[in-house]
Amino acid sequence: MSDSEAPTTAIPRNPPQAGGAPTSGVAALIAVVLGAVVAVALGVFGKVHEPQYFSINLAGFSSGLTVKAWLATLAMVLALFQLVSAFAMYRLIPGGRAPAWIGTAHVWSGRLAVLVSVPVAVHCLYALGFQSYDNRVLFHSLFGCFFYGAFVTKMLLLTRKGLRAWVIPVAGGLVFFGLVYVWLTSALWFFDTNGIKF
Amino acid sequence: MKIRGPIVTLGAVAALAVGILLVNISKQDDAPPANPYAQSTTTTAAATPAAPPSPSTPPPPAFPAKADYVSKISTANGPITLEITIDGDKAVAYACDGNTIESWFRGSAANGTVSLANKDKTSRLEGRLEGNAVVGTLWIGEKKWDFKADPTQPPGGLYIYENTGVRNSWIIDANGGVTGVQRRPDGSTAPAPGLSIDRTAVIDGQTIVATRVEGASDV
Repeated sequence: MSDSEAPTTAIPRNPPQAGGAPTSGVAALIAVVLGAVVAVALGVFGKVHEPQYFSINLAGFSSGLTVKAWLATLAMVLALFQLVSAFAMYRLIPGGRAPAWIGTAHVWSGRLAVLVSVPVAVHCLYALGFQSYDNRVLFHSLFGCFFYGAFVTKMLLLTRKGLRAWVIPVAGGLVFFGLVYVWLTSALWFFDTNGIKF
Repeated sequence: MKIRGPIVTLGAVAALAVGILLVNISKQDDAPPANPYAQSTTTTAAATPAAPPSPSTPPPPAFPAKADYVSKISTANGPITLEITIDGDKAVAYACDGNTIESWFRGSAANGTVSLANKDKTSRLEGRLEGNAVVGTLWIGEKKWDFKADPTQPPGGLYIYENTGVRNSWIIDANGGVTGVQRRPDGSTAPAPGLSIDRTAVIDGQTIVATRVEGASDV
């Protein structure tokens, strides 16, 4: 997977034709449906699976929860870069053309962000499950499932040409929105109640 | 325009998730089952106590009328803190990892030995006095650990606070260290809020005073 062929770099350079092909709407719908399926499947797994209250840990941290909080925070920082770099790619940042590397940086920071989130999500789903005993936990569960569903949709949309111009930014925005709320309802809460520790 | 990039990303994410999940499942056998209450298997089949009272001890040692013992047990998944509290011929013990694992034990104390089990008998504890410490074995589910619990004086001991079905349990060790687990009505567990040496804790913005658990307490 060479950087230069990563598709998001090409998005701004390929403004879709007005109206787009009729198939592009169907493709977008399929991407949304598949994302929804993933989100619901994660939620169902989390609800049905018997929580194990146990998961592998990472060396160097005081507890599994601190590992999760810091990995989530790393994902959050990368996601903020995602937002800024996306704005640059769409030339929404004053100062003219975005630097050539911004697309590559966007792709790879995004990949890294979602990859560091995976151990956290697996721990959540495997060890704790989909829970609803208070509002924070309920919304965290919902947003966590939503985030991965939106992520799948966004990735599938990226493989499509001829989408309307607003489709990718909206999908990306929803992924970002999901991660922000996942982080607010977990890592921020953790640091707020336990203090910032490693 | 190549379109493989996002698919590769999706694949990498899925592969990583499945990989971690499989590692988790494979390691699960090595982990202390965190929810012994949910286990239906009778693990007490091998009911030979690992630490029977030594018959050669001439005078049977006796527990003080009231006593507390605390032990930190090292396990593959981090330390488990164990507290045993004796009150006359009754004993209560509590083991937790300060995170999500906890188990309560009740039973008897006589002739310097304690024999305790949890409600559904999937976890148990056998111990005997050696000097002024309690030495024995703790079984949680299918895992077992040997322990040596040293006596501790108040504020060291076992504390509990229960409200609207949410139970917070804490152990204060001889050094004033606190380990606690919160159990919610749906059975889920989490680290308990911090408990101060003065027995107060702040739970949901309210300052509460925890109750000290005695061996005869009905927990």
